[in-house]
Amino acid sequence: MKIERDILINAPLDRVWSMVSQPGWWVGADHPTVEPTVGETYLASDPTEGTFPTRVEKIDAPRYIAFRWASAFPGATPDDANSTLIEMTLSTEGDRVRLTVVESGFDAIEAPADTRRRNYEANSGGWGSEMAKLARRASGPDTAAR
Amino acid sequence: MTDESPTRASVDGVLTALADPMRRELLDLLAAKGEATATALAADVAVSRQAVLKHLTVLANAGLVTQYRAGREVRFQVASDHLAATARWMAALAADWDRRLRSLKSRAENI
Repeated sequence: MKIERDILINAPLDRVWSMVSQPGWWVGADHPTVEPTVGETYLASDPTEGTFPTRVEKIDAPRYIAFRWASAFPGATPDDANSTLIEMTLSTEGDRVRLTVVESGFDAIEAPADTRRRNYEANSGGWGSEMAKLARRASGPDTAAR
Repeated sequence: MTDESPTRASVDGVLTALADPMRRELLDLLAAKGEATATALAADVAVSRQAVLKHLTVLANAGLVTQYRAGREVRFQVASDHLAATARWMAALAADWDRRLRSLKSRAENI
């Protein structure tokens, strides 16, 4: 299961990249500017939502960067059982930039008590579009995320 | 993330139940049929009636199917509430991203 959204931005690629490559830019508004390094974890804070350690997974400047964060567990260091992957991809359209965000891995998140059962379930394979298909059937069109 | 989003617990149960491809297939079949017995479902899938029953129990525990007795049969049908809650949860996550993307766009465009 994944969430995919995009937006067209009327600004130069380098400028958008400098913003999008900041770990946790989507949390709150102000962050110290860092030079993102793969494997490093940075703290992103919001006064109401909390602090989210965010790890840089992969960088292919200035077009792609991937982060991992535990959005459901403020303060927690992201690991395989509590976090989702956020992938940001930039593409140019004329002199504008399309930013696409894909957040995936929600089905791998587990409550601590469920760890063993989930490990078993995880071995039976991931699941993708069926979820959205079922959700649409259950609740009519337009309510399910893409 | 969003105050009105459904509880994590109910969403987690749904996600776990749907992590198995056979359970997704059974849920799909059940949705298409409206309602069915385990025997009828077993005729359409590659596993035994016992295995179907086991999967239906997991789906029932997650609140994805309900069962009722009709004479000597036990019939199952899809319960859409938890599925719909999961869909709403996903929609809320998507709305969060739309908000963040709009904010980034306006910061990027206003030098």
